[in-house]
Parts: sequence; C-alpha cells; structure tokens
Amino acid sequence: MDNNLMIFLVSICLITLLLMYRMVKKKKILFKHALMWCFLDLILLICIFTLPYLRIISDFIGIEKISNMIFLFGFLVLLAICIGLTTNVAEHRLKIIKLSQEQGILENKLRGLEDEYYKKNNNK
Amino acid sequence: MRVLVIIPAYNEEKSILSTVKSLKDAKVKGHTLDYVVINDGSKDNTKQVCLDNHLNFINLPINLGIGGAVQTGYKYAYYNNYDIAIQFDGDGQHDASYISSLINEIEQGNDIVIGSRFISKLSEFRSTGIRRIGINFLSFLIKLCTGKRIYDPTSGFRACNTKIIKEFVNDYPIDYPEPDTIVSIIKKGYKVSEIPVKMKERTSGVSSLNTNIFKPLYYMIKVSMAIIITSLSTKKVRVNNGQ
Repeated sequence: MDNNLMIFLVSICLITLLLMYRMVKKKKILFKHALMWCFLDLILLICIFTLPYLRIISDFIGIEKISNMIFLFGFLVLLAICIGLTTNVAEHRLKIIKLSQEQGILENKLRGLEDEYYKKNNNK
Repeated sequence: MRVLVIIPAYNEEKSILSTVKSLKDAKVKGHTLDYVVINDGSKDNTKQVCLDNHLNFINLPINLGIGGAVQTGYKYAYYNNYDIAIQFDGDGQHDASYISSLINEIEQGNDIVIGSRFISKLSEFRSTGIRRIGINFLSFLIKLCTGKRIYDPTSGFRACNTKIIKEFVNDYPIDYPEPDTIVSIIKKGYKVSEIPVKMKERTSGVSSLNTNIFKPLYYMIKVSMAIIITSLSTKKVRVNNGQ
C-alpha cells in the first residue's frame, strides 16, 4: 500500500474518532452506536498497521491488492452495522406500536370513567 | 358469554355509524354483545364521528396498520375478560346477522372461525379475476404448509375464543395479518373452521390494495413469504381436544 493511501486512511480514522467523541459529548449519538463506529475505525487501523500479515490473507482469498481487501473488510463491517441498525428500527417500531396501543386503551378507559363521573354528578 | 366485536376503522367516517348500528340491531340470544371501534389514526373525521355519537372507541394516535389496530382490539378483549372476540370491518362489507353463526361454531369447540366468501354462493361480493387467483394461490400455499384447506384466507370476518385472544395479544403480524395468523394457529394445533357468510361491496372508502398496481404484487410476495416463514418457524403441536 502506498504511503499516501496509508496517510489518507489513518486521517479518516482519526477524524471519525474525533467526530464520534464530539457527538457523544453533545449527546447527538448513543454511546453504543458511537462504539460501533469506533470498532470499524479500529479494524481499519489494525489492517493498516499489520500489512505483512494481511498479505497472507489476501493471497489466500485471491485479492491482488491489499488496499482492495481493506476496503472489502470496511464494506463488510458497514454491512454488519446496517443490519444492526435495521434490527434496531424493527425493535423501535414494535415498541411504538405497543405504546400507541396501550395509550389508546388507557384513553378509552379514562373516557369511560369521565362519562361515569359526569353521569353521577348530573344525577345528584 | 361476553362477546366483543372489534371494528378496525381507517378513514371510515361515512360508514362507521351504519356499521355500529347494524351490530346493535343484530340478534344474539344468550350472549352479551359489545363492540369497540379502533380508530387507526384516521385522517378524516372518524374520531369526531365516534365522539359525537358516544361510540365506544379506542383512538390510536398514529396509523399502525390493520395488524396493529386489530391487535389493540384483542388486547382490549383480553384486559376486559371477554370470552369471544370477533373481527368486523368498519367499511360495511360484513353482515352482522352472521355473528350468531360464528359464536355457535366457537361454542361447538372451534378455537377460531372464519366467515368465508367462497364456500357457498351466498356472497354478493364479486372479486376480480386476479384477486381470486391470488386468494386461491394463498389457499393452496396454506394447504401445502399446514395440510388444511382454508377457502378464504384473507377474510377479515373472524371469531376466536380466549385461547386465541391470548395468542394474538402476545404476537400478531403488523400488515396483512390474516393468512399469516391462520398458518401459525393451525400449526399450534388449534381448531380452525370456516362457515359461509354473505359479504357486500364496501359502502365507502378504498381498499388499501387498490391504490396502485404494485400493491397487489407486493401483497402476494409479502404474504407468501410470511406464510412460508411462519410455517417453518412455528413448531407443530398436536392438541388433544377436550383436554
């Protein structure tokens, strides 16, 4: 991997780490999600600094350039994060449904109690 | 027995009153028949119509879709200890005079009873050719997955007992739930039966499947996949009746 690409990748990792730190500090992102992105950064950094070992893996898989393999790893981790986020969306949808249902049922109960109360008061 | 009729309503301001009136006029001897309208985040005046006419209704703050709305009704039935819950469309398609037949079937030991359009020539409901092919395909798929033929798997006119109410409170599919739930119920060993009912064309509103040409296609793919996944993921249980 040429030096320029290496510097470029390391800078991206550092900028992302800094960005995550700021976002967590300002509470714009959940800590668990920030950790996920930091994990991606970490994988990328490990890949960059263990190039000789990566050569063995890239030869084994049949990828000619190590940089291509690093991008492939990055893409796979991103895919995993996307699946994780989709799961999260589904969980939240189910929670919203449950909340709306319970709120609707409670509101119905409250209306019933209000009606009863007014009927009693009118009879008095 | 205490019977609850669940009426899911989305933009049914024109038909909801006549639907509730038909239920109030329905004669069900020996049972207490209550109803609850589930206003599923309607954009029209359904909520106001319910308020003005003092209907018993649950107002969902957002549109949850038919599955979420109907499940709300099952939760209401469960919390209020109803013995039977009946799904009944708010668009005027279902005929309240068949409610007593549904209840009879439940009393005879069935866990869930489906009001079917296709096991007699009673129905005035005229479905299009493509729709009929779709329903036949779903019926075939259910037979393949469960071994039991259900002639009208998409019918929203159904009655169920307390065991099924509890099942539906715990788990109910969000969209297009009817065929999906039939498969899981049969697989779990519950008794499912169908009775012939008369259904009318909807008196107002538009079917959610008629909004564009891609909807029926999406519906068929989604429901078929859901049936297969439910069939594979639900453990088959043999239930000894009367135990």
